[in-house]
Amino acid sequence: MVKKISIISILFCFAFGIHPQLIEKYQNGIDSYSNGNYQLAIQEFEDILKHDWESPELYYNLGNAYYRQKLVSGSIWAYEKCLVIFPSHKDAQYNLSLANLNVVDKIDLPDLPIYLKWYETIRNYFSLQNWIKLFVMSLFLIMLLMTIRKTLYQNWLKSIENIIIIELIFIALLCGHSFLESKSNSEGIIYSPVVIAYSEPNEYSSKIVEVHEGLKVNILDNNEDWVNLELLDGTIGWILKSQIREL
Amino acid sequence: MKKLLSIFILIAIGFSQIQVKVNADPKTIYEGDAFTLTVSAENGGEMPNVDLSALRDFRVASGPSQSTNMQWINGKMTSSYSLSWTLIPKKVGNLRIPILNINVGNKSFKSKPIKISVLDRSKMNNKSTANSGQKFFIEATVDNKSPYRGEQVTLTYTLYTKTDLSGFDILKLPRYQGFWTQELYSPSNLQLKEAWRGSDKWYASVVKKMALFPTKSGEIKIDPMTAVVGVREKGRRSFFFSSSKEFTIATNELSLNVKALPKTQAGRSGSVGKWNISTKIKSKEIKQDEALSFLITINGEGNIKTVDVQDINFPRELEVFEPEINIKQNELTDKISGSKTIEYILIPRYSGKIIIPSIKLLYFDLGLKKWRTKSTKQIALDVKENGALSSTSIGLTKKEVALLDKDIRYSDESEPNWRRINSPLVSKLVIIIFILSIILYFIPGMLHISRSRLDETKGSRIAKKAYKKSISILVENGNAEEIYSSIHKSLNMFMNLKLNKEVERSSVEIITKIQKQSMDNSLSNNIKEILDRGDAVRFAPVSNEKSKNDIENIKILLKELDQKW
Repeated sequence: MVKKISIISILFCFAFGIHPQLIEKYQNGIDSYSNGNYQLAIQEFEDILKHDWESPELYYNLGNAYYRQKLVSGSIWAYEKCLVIFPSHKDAQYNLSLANLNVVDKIDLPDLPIYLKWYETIRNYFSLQNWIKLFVMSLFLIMLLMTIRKTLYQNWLKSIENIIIIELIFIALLCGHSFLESKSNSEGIIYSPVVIAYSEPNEYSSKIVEVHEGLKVNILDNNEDWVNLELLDGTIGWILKSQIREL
Repeated sequence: MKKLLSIFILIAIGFSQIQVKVNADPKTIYEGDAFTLTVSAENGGEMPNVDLSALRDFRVASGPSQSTNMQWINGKMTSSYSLSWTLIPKKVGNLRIPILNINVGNKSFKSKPIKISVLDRSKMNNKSTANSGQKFFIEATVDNKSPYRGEQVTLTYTLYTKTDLSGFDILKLPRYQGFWTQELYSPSNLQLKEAWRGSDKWYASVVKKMALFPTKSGEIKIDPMTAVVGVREKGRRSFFFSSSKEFTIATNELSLNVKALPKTQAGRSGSVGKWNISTKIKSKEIKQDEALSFLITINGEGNIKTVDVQDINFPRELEVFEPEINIKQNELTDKISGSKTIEYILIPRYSGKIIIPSIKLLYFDLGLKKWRTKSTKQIALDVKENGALSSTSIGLTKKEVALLDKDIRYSDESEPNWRRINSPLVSKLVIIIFILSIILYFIPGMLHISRSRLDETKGSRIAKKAYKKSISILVENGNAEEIYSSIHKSLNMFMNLKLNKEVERSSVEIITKIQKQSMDNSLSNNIKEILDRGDAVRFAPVSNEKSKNDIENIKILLKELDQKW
């Protein structure tokens, strides 16, 4: 079903069309990466992002280029971005774990209970968009089965329908959860080597915590120049907007 | 009386002069022999204080020993305090005991220098009688004066004597600086054998044998050993005890020129000698988490205690415990040899094929005079899975460390799925599918409605035709029986078409149905009359006119019924 989705979305892309110049840029970036010119590869990939086009492959390769250029924060940002669109991208997960080894700050989170772990694993299998697609597809399937059952009097289809209905409810809960989460908090990666978080959005207030590049934080609030962030362990502070890159 | 005496003594001391004497005996000795240096103070009233730091060419073997002597001669008291040392010269030639500073009480004295001539023992045979007094000495010899670093040197101390000795005791062994030492032989009593040195006949006995392993290269000196020898004195023999006189003697000093080992590219090792290495393992097939003994045996000649294999890199699948080392040394040989076993306890923590690497021993071969590496074959273990759940918790913290030496995975060059940044959460595709499914939801309902309507219209169409169809089957020209049966058939068909059913009805059934549908008693009575006549026609003949009249009547009645239905 996922394949179907991707095939359809590829068709969609062809229908709307990415500019051939951008495809050329992408190819150029890939080539310069394999030739060891990581700086140029980063430039080309970032340029495509500026033109409002993205893809998990692009983010993954951008992350690799940043990693080779020893820019930890950039690589973490790109891998995380890749995983937002394509949460089950195995290579991106692996490379992200490598990049995270270089992050100075390590915030230990308590281990989740096993059922929550399972739930999160399932939830992270698809992105929210794909979950919504899956929801609609199974809704469509149910309707199709119902129509067949009612018009052709095939009563044995009823049990299959019930299974799909249970699945549909589960997916609906997942979508709801993911949707609420994506609405309530956006995330970001610390981009400057050392960042001091203040208690208020100005430099005169007291310093709360010092964080280092590559750390993933929640963004609670946005101001013109300042960002209110929450560390994974719950600490809240304000930092300059230029010091963070939003996911 | 006592008071008087002490005053007298004081006066006597006060008036008598202090005399300091320094004496050495004998003044002509052989290398390694000792002489006695005596410092005595007469009339000093206390022990002299002597500074011996100026004695550079001599070593103090023992002393100082103190003695006090008091004499009354012709009413005059003389007191004598003396200190004596046993000294051993450090080199051969004409030596001098330098001027010594001696303090007695508050007064200081200076001694005169004394000449001591030390003779070379190797030249002793050429001189015939001058040294006939030389009766015994100890010689230190080594088997190799220029060994490699780490090569064994055997040091032998041999006692030579011409007289009857009553005792022998090693007084002081040198510290053997720059060597790793091990005693090879140390007899509890002397075993004298004839030995010839030049033309002289001596009795000789090995008193000690040492194995020395130089630990550094360059010139290393072996300091002399000192020993005490007891000599029986003739003619002064009592019944029980033979009286004897003790002499302190020292050996010659030796110096070795230790050669450095050549450099090697193969690795770092301090092992020297001739070695062999082998490994042993009980079984190659074991279970996971089962202990396994891995035995490395090194045997050969050389410093068995320090010989060691190159660092072993056991695979990570094995848990390795500190090895137990056992050394077995061959006894009663001049060259140290033996075997060393290193026993490792290994526990495989994973199943599958685990390879114990080859064990390497790098050593300097003294026979070939070059570095050699001996190695064992690697051993492949076949580890079977443990029935119980394996405890993988051992490696949990190792995960991050292991990740460090891995690299990121290579770039993804597949065709990218391009999409707009911030593309809406709900795409057009989703909306289309959603609408389609809603449409699908209504399809069965819609189908049901249309079909029922279709069914209804069809029925009514047929029902409308019922009158015409039923009229058409009426037989107008025939006998009465045929006419009445056609009337019955036509009524039945009319009802079937009206009710959309295929049933055969009796006359009574038809009447009751008509009565129900039309709610008109006269109509049903008229039809009943005709039908009754039809039933009766089989038994009572009816005229043709009447039957024809009935046909016309039924046509009118059917039309009436059709309108009322």
